Amino acid sequence: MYYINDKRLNPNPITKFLVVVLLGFTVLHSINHYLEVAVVLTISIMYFMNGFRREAIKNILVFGVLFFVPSFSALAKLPIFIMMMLSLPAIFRMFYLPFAAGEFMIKTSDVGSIISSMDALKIPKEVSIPIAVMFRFFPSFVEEKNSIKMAMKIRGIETKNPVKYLEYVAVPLLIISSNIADDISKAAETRCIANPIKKTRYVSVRIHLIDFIYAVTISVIVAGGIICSH
Amino acid sequence: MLTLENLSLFYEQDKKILDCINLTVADGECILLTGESGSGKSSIINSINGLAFEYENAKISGSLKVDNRELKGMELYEISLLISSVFQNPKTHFFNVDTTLELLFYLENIGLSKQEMESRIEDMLKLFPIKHLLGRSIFELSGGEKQILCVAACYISGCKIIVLDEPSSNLDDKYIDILKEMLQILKNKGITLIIAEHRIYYLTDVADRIITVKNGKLGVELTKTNLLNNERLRELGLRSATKTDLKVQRNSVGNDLTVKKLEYNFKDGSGLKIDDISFGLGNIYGITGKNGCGKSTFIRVMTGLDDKGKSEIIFNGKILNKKDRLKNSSLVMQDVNHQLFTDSVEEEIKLGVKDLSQDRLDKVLYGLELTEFKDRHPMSLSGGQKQRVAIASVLCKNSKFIFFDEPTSGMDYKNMIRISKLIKEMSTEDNIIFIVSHDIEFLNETADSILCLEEFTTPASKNESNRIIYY
Repeated sequence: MYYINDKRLNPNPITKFLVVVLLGFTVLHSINHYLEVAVVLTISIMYFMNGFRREAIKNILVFGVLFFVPSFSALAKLPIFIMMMLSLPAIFRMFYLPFAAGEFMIKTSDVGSIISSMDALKIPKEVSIPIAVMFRFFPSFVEEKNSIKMAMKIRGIETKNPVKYLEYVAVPLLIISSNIADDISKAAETRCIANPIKKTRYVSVRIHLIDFIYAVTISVIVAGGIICSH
Repeated sequence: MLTLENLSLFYEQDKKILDCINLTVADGECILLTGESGSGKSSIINSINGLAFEYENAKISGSLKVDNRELKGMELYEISLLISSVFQNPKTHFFNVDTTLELLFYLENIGLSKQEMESRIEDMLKLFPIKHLLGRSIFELSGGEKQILCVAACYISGCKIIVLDEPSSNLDDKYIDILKEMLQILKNKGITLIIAEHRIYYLTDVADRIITVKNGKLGVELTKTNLLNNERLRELGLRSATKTDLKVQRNSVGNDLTVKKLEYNFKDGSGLKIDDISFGLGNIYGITGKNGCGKSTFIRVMTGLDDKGKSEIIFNGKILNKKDRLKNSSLVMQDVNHQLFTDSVEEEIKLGVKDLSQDRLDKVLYGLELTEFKDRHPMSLSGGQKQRVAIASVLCKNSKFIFFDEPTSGMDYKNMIRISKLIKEMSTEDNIIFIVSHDIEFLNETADSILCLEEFTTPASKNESNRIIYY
């Protein structure tokens, strides 16, 4: 076991997915602001324990800014110009909690454990393999996207107009995305991912104490928040 | 035993890529397939590992057998149980982000027990000292480290046949030596190796047979005397069969652009520290150094793209801040797909350039043989043509500082000479060209002076001593 990083502080992907769904409810029933802060802090602590310090701090900072964006009901009372300016951040704020939990899930889950947890749930391979490939896609995508941004900067392409920006970034991004997808599936297929025999796992996906702590903390906050708001 | 019998490969109806290939490879033999770009050597590799039909929609006639089992019509995973592949770009090779999990992934998929997995890893570590690469994220590894991990993964898989498609094209000297050593070890273990490569100097001792490929057909078998005749190799489009030494002078000439200070710290604790180096207008500088020594960082700081490092750069007596540098620099990236943004070649070249006359544009297009592709979508062009489009846009921007990041990676002799000529033509009394490259033959051909970045790196506190012992 000595070559593998310790996984006891990292909840398994199923728990992380359940938390994302749970936090999805907060989009429909907004919960108390202080409870929202508690959720964000919980996620940051989880990041921190798994050695993702930058993500932990970024999570708090982003929410710190969004915290001051008024909700839609408050927004309706403001002058139309300000309303237009703030409506996009307001939407982002509405979805921030499930988004943050989703980001945590993607950044801290490896493909192997995702496949084995889906195996544990008896999800068929036709579904589980594409999902695993999707997960693997994100980190590569981010890396390639940064290169494109660099190229735009040095070409002196103005990035202030969002429509033009999308137009320029779309072409290389689409081409590169399809290349990444091809590369990842080639890597997976030449590693016999489609082999129909029963597979073994070096690190079995178990439920640790951390799974309970993470799931229960978030459930209590969300449930408490929804009950209090009624 | 691997046998190819009358193997032909087609894309679409009539585009014949391989033409009646007959080849028998005995167990434990090492075959080197060599030839210029587009000769079909990679297609032979992709036919053997099955990727050609699965991913490139190629059709095949003839037969491909491993120990009398026909590979044609097998599923990819069935072929992968017999044959392991190493690709040109190690980026392509990884499905997991964690390196240990990547090594284990194949073993998990063939259903080995945990004990068996552990013993295979131990066994591999005895052969290849790469313990320091385990348990890391692939995004932290240098190209060379990734490639040796790929080779180790092939060994762990237990496949008796390994095919390699230009494995050295992204490696520096040090990693090419390591790769050679690893291949020799694999060969001694009785593993059959089939390598497609146009850089052959490092394989002359390992390979049992060196076979040329031309226009989709197998050509002559090269003997040791052929290998010493550079003229003959050039005719075949091959690089030298002996290791070339850097012949360009080290001492920097000129004093127009001065890097007073450039400091950058990497995550692992090592760093890049440059004091007082000057560059002169009208010169071409080669920037070398081993994989991972900070060559890309050097480009990012010099062009003003990176705002993390400390830097003080002076041009003609004036300090250039990051914005000035960004305005005065151009970059041709290693993967040009990142830097093509519009839907026609002409638009692409005009993008971001003010006051470009049609006359100048036509001249540049003509000079780079791009006139006929003027209205084509840049992404529909071949790799070499895309690179020329990127160069054309750089030429029109008229930058003072022009940077190339590994412009010849994976290029055969002919294309390398072509790009070298292009770069030399670009050099004027009004610009400085920097080329980051580990292609010695290319630098000898092109550069006026060399800056080796390895001399400016500060070591990481404790890991460095390990690195020397390990790969």
